[in-house]
Amino acid sequence: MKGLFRASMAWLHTTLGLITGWVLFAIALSGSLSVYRQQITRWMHPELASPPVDPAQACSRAIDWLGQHAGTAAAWYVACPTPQAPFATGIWPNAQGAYSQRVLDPQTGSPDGLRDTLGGEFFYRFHFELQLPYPWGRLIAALAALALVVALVTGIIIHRRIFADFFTFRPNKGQRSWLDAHNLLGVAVLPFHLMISLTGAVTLASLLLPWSTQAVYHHDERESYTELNPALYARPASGQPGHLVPILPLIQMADRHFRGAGIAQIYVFNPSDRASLVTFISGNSQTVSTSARIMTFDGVTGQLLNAHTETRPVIRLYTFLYGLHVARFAPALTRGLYFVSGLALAVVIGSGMHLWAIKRLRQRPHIGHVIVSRLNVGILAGTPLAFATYFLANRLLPPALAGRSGYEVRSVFVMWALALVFALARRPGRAWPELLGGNMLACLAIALLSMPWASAATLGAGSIALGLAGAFGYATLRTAHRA
Amino acid sequence: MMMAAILCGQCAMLLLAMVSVRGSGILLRKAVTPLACRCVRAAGIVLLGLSFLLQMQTVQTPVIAAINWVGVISIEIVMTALTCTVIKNIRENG
Repeated sequence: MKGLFRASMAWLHTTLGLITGWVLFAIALSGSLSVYRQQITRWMHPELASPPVDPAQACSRAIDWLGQHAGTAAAWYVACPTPQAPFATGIWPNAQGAYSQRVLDPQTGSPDGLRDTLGGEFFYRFHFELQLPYPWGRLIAALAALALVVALVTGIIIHRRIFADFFTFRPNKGQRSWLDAHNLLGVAVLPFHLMISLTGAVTLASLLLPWSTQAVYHHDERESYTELNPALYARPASGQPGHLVPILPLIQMADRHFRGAGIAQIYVFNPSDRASLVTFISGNSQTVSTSARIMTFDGVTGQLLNAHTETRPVIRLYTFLYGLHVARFAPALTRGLYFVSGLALAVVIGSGMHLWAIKRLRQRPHIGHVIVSRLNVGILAGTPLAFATYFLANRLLPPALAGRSGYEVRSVFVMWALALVFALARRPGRAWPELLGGNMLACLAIALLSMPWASAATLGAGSIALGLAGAFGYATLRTAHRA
Repeated sequence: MMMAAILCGQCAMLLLAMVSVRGSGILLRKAVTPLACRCVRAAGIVLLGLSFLLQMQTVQTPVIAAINWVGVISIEIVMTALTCTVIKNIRENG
């Protein structure tokens, strides 16, 4: 009975890993990078000067610029400067409903002279949207997170010698070495992996379990949203023109009200209408929870309409779990640990996928095993190469190119497709060192493009890229030796 | 304080590896008695607890301290495993 249970758990572990492994690998890798999304955005804007930034002034200038250049937009969303990202970011929809996103110079409030790029935001959104339309990307990410939870639990159950092999890694032993690496990293980083997969599933829980919301609110999304965020609501436009009050006094009032937490975001709804609203959301860098204080003002009169501090226990629990996942609170060490643990998750998934293929290829290989083995090369070595291409495209594309951010994103998927085709067409023994060598060169190029490593962003990106180049170089030598 | 917490955690992991099934053969030349084994394991657990307390002193928010401790311990487990691998390789090849 015990053997049967373990065998069924092993089947579940393997099947879930095989079905979701590739997508989980991309999610884990992009999630690790999005830990440093603000720093990546800073790296991707080398034109930005680094004088001390007054967040209130920078936000006020950003809103002035939006008033002049996106006055007819239905809403503006402004992310305020932080120590990690000393610039404002503006997001606004056009008449067709497509969103524009630009980093706004904190000194001028304008994006002029700054290259058009999504920066680290690309990795952040890819992590849970997979560049797919709503709700498909999020739904796949949510199901993958659930599958990861189950795979971790079943992995523990089927690991027969969890304590005996706790500190064991036996290199140069083929399949045994891959299993050791899979087990060692899987067990050592298990608490983080369990936490991140569980909180990831909770973050997207409304997609996995939509029925309670549908039953209570009868498909009225606006009502459910308003109840979840009582001070964060948008009223319909009146159709009559209106002018925004000067924003700086409101910013200063909100900043005083938030008592040191700072302002994280400013939303302006119907900015050129008499029914305009200005909403301030506090920062929460001092707590794990993303639960924030919110103030909403009438945009034309400047009168305070609503202020809300979250105290409801269930929502506080949710925002705590969500906060644990997105790690906005994280100081430098914690951020680094999230990054390393995320990479470890990618290695656990990658080693599991590789182990599946080499085990079957040694036994009775058939065409399915060969295809999986080749796709493994394309995904496991192609994904980091595609992500590295994003950094390189940022520096190689002309800064003034129209639609530049779109080209940067497209470069990721073009490189990914090329890597997959290359891996499918080539024997894995040859494709592994070639693609890993490509990764090494791409990381070296990123390190070189970060020169002279003068700011925190370039120093961080350069040193991480150099470290990864070393790791890829070592992997290239090892795989080339075996080819 | 942070450095002390990391050092305590790493020493704890090495002590626990010394009395583990595979680690004892690598890190110790002679077989240890069950009593010594229990003492080393207890010392490892005490050091692990100490590293947690030191980590708590380093960061003001307990949750963040706990996250840091878990993250650092994960790396220390991997470092200990790699240390065992290197020592075993040196013994076998040297």
